[in-house]
Formats: sequence, structure tokens, C-alpha cells
Amino acid sequence: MTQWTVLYRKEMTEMVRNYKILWVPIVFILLGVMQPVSSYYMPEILDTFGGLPEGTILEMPTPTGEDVLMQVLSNYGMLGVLILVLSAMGVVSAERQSGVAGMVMIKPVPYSSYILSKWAGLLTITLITLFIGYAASWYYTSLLIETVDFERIFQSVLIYSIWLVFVVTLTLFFSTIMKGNGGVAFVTIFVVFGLSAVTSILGENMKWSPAAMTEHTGQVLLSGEPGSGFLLGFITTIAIIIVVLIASIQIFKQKELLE
Amino acid sequence: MELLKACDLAKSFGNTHAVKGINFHIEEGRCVSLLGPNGAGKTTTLKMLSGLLEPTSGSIDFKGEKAKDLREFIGYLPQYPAFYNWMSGKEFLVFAGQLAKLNRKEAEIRSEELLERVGLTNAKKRKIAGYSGGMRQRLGLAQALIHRPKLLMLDEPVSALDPLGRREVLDMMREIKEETTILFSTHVLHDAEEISDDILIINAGEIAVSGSLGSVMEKYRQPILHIEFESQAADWLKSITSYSVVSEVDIQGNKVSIVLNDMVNGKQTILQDIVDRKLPILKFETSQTTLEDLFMKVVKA
Amino acid sequence: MNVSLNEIPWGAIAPIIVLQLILMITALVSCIREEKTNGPKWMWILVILFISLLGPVIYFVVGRRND
Repeated sequence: MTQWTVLYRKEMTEMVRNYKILWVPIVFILLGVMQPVSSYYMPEILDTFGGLPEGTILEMPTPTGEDVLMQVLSNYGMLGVLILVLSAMGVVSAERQSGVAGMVMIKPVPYSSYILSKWAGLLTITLITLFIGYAASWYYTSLLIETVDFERIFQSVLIYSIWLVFVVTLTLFFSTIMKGNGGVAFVTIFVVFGLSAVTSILGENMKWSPAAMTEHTGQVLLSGEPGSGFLLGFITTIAIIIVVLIASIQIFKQKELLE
Repeated sequence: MELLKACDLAKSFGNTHAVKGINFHIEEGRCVSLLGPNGAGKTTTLKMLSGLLEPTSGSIDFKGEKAKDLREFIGYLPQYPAFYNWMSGKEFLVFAGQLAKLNRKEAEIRSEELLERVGLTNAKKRKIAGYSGGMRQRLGLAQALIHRPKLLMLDEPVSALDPLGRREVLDMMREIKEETTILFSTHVLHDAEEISDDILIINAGEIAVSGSLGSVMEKYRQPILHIEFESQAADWLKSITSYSVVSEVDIQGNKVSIVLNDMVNGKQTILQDIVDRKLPILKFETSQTTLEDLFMKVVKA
Repeated sequence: MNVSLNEIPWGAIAPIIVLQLILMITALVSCIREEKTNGPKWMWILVILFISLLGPVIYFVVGRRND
């Protein structure tokens, strides 16, 4: 068994012991199913609790299944990203702070194995979470509103997962170069939301941006096809992920462990 | 046989030169103590030898060859060992063993052996979070030994422990030194005197004294007089510094320590003076300088 | 103007309630078994019990010590 496997298994065991493997997916499922439920019952909810004046006619078009799922992804894009980043912020920084990263690296472990095992652990929890949450959301949407074509669901979740992989890779990077967990979360969130905002404002000029993936996800849901420039965005996103990983490994090598 | 040799090893952090080009070697099978005050560069030196820290310049030879990655041959116990506190003691040892390239089965067997040896068998299934300081230090020792390293490096292994824990760890080190070469740092002279064969005294990033404990003691040993007066005798003490037999005078209140170049003549001269001047002495004692005196001298110089 | 009990679509709502309960219980178990939390334990127990969904999440992110 390679040291990478030992380290990856440790990551997974840790997530089981601290319940991360349970609570993060549950939160995503809840975020995912509350959207279709609230869309479906919105008229009744307003009717019952809204206190609208008598005689108000509710002109509320029932949203399509695609609309609901897009709303779900938009929730994942805000709250979901926030939770993922917060749950991953200490991935390297906390181990450097406690000194246990040094205890690992005094064994003949390649620096790349350490970082890549962390990355694989983050990928595992992120993808499990996204797939389960989105599947639950899809199930509720077909139950309450209408069934959305499975192929669109599948393609959209794949594209969206690239964006989330980018987000957690960035979290890993900042967790490697910075020390305070809070600072890691703050900077990562700042960069991620900043990139999203700039991408949606500049639109055409930002087709390469990883944040463009979220827009392609929406288009796949609505039309079955990603928007133009998908390939460019896809390739640059993968390239950025690789570069950020390599940078993380190189910087980790330079960091003083066991202070 | 020479196990490890450091040539012009240096490390700077920005403008501070933590270690300034030191040379030394470690013989196989010896127990070597790296002595020095806090901030002398002990930890930096150990970390460079262990491969955790890249030297700014200089090289390290291991068994006569230029070393690339020594971590496989080295067991390291940091000053403040850290663990995954959610693991049990045994889990951590197996984990550490596998990282050191043992397979799972070997790691399990070796872990049990070491748990027994460091006296943690009863606590092996408990979470490390609940371990005491002494237990953590012993677990740290076990993880350093897990892959049967050629060289065991311990950074201040007993400084943070209470007298009982200190005794336990020192006794374990005495056992381990029968099998493995040990290099440990300390600022406590007594520990160095107690178990080391060789000593390296490091101060301000440079090696001040090195050699086997016996030869260093022999070489730097000087006769010394301890005199205690009824009242202060500062005037006379000032005057004796000019005597050729006196090399150093250290006054502490009514007590004085006089380091001599020659015991026989020095004692004569000083005693004569005391009698002539009718100095009121309470105590007059002759002895030899200890490692502590040498250490203080080196550090103050 | 009341929604009667049998109008509530239990088939859709029940799983949500169950998941929230699991989340809350997991957080409680974690909090109680933890040697030390960031901040007083009793406060976290209150947060987990009385702030639905967000309470357990905040506990897991902020209350647990990372080691």
C-alpha cells in the first residue's frame, strides 16, 4: 500500500469520525429538497400565512422543473459553497497549526502525496454531497412538479461538479499557504464570489472563467446544450485546477513544519 | 563507523543566521547530546538533519554518501509531538508505521511491541486526546522508533516533563541507546551528563565544544576554589584578578568561585593572602570545574 | 382558515423532518462526546436544539475543535 493510500484512508476515517461524511450531505439534501417543496406549496403558504388582503388574486405561474433545479443549484452556489469552504478550510492549515503535519512529513512521505491525498478526500466528500443532494432534489421535483429529463440532470451535475472541484481546490491552496482557518475561509470565499460576480458582469470576456461553468449548467438544464465557449471554459478550469495543485505542493514543500 | 557528517551546515531565516556553518560527525552506536541555551540553533540543526528543513548551504553525508532524503533512516521526536487526537494510540502507531513503508501487518506487530515497551499497552485503545503529557511523549518516542531507524533524533525529549515522566523517558533512552544511535538536544546539562557518550555544545549557531564526554571534561577541566566569607571582601577579590595563577573570579554576594590555572600554587597563594589579611572566611573548598561551568563559560563568551 | 392535519402532505414532509432530526442528533452526539468545544458546551447544545438546520451546521463549523 502506498503512502498516498494510507493518507487518503486516514482522511476518510477522519470524516467518518467527525461526522462530516454525514452532516455535509444532509445539509445539501435539505437545501435541495426544500426548493421544490416551497415552490409547490408557495401559493398555499402565502394564502395561509401571508396575510394578503382579501381579494388579491395570486398570479403565480407554477415554475417548471428546470426552473426549480436551477434555483437549487443557485442555492448550492451560495450556501452550498459557503458550507463546503467552511468545512474544508482547516484541511492543511489546522494540521500545520497543531504540528501533526510535521509528524507526517518526518516519515518518508512525498510532499505531493500529502497534498494529493487531502485533495482526493475533499473531492470525495464534495462529489458525494453534490450527487446525493442533487438526486434528492431531482426526486422531489419530479414528485411535486414535473420530471426533468435524466440526461439533462446528469450532464448538468457533471458540469456543476467541475465548478465545485475548482472551489475546493482553491480552499486547499489557501489552506496550504495561510495559517488561520478563518482567514482561509474568508479569502477563498472572497475569491470565489468575486470571480462569480466578475464573470457574470463581463460575460463575453470571461468565457474562460471557471465560474462560467455555473452558467453552462443552467443552459444544459434549460436547453440540453451548454452555451458557447464551454470547451474553452472547461479546458482552462481543468488547467487552473492542475496549476493550483502543483503550486500547493511546491509551497507546502517550502513551509516550515514543526515550529 | 561514521554514520552522519555535517559539512558547513548553515541556515538563515532572512537576516538572522540561526546556524552558521557547523561541522561535526556522529559515530554509529553513540548517544550524542546537542547542548545549548534556548535559541542556540539546536532545533534548526536537528530539523536540517532530519530533512524537514532545507539547509541554506552545506551538506549532510549519511554513511559516507551525500544524502538526498534521510527521512527513511531517521526517527524524529519533536519537542512538542502532535498527533491526530481522534485516533487511538495504536491507530496512530500503525498509521506512522505504514507511512514509513511498513506493510499493515508489520506495522501492527511493531506497534504492539513498542506500546509494550513504552508502557502504553493499557491505553492503546484510548483516544490520544485523553493522554497526559508523559504519555504523549512516550507515544512520540514509539512513533519515532516504528521503522527501526538508524538514527533517533529527539528534540528536548524531557524538558517539558515532570520529574517522574523525565525519569521514565531517560530510562527508555538508556535502553534504546543499546540498539540505535541517538542524537538528542537539551538545555539541561544534567541529562546530557547522565546518558550521553559524546557532546556537542552549540551556542549562537556555532559549535563551541565537541568530543566525547570524558575527553571534553578532561580537556576543559580546571581547578576551582569556592570560598565563603563572613562579610564581603570585594577589595581583595579585585586585587587577586591580577595574579598569574588566577584565571577567573566570579563573585556572588559573600561567596566567590576562583578558577585557577594551577591548583597547587594557586591554593598556596590564595591561602597565604587570606592569612596575611586576616580575612574572615567561613568556608574554603577546592574542586574541579563541572560541565555546567564549562557550559556557562561557553555561553557567556 | 386553518390547514387541517390531513391536508399536510406527510409523504413529502416526513423525510425532511427525519433528516433534520438526524442532523440535530448527530451534532448533539458529537458535541457531548467532544472533550472540549470552542466555547461552553451547554451553549452549543442550546444552539443545536433551538436553531433548526443552521444550529447544527454552525456547531460543526465553529464549535468543533479541528484535531
